[in-house]
Amino acid sequence: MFQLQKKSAPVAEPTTPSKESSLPSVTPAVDIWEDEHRVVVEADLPGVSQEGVEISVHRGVLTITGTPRVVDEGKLQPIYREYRPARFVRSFTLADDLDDQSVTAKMTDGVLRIELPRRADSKPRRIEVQAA
Amino acid sequence: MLTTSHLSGSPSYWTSDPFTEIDRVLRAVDRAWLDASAGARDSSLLNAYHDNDSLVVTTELPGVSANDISIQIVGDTLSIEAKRGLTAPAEGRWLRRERRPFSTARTVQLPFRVDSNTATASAKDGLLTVTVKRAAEDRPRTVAIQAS
Repeated sequence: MFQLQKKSAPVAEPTTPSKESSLPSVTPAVDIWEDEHRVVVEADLPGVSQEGVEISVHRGVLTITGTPRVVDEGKLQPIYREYRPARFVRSFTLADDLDDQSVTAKMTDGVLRIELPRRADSKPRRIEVQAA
Repeated sequence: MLTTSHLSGSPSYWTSDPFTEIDRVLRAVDRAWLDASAGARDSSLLNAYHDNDSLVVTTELPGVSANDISIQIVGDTLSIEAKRGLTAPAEGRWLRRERRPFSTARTVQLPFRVDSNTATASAKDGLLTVTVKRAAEDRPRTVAIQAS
């Protein structure tokens, strides 16, 4: 489990806000590609650690929620702001042939990669035609 | 895409030359276009905060490892350069493609003189945080009034 370390030196090391906090939601950029074995989803979730990601599958809908670490502005004055602290949320409807029981996911440098394997019984099979 | 932007101590930042302003507008248009077309968030967005003694700059750099980031402080300018390439799958079919490779160079005009020896940076989870301290000789000093 990731532990936030309280250090005295940094003025405003970003920290992960609690789940209850009311951050607005934004849509993260995603890439999705497929081959005959799986569908792969990659999403940009800058500032989100492994612990800040929630992936759920409910009634065939995959939902990604990423809560990033944000700067506790406290006494700091913003002088330039291109993005507002926000939670990343995105949902996808899964195709019937995907096995939502064996989804795997990992985070690398703020990029989430989810692999959804196809069900074994949905992969194309070659059926031999027997001579009568 | 190479982009630069300037800022000053005031919330409504000024720009020092027309090219910077054009660049800022292009960037805004670019972002609006991306928002409209894909509904997705742009990369390498930057925020800066300061108090009396320090400046904190955070930049969203998803998919960029620490090795691909360079930070420089020259005079009153902090520069951040970063790039990411995206590897396409060897085989397979795209269903959606919104993430983009980028090569970005951002500059931040420092609101005060800084001691570059005290600068610290951390790249974690695709978020770069740079902290610089105000130079000791540049900090406001209280001058005591002596009783006559």
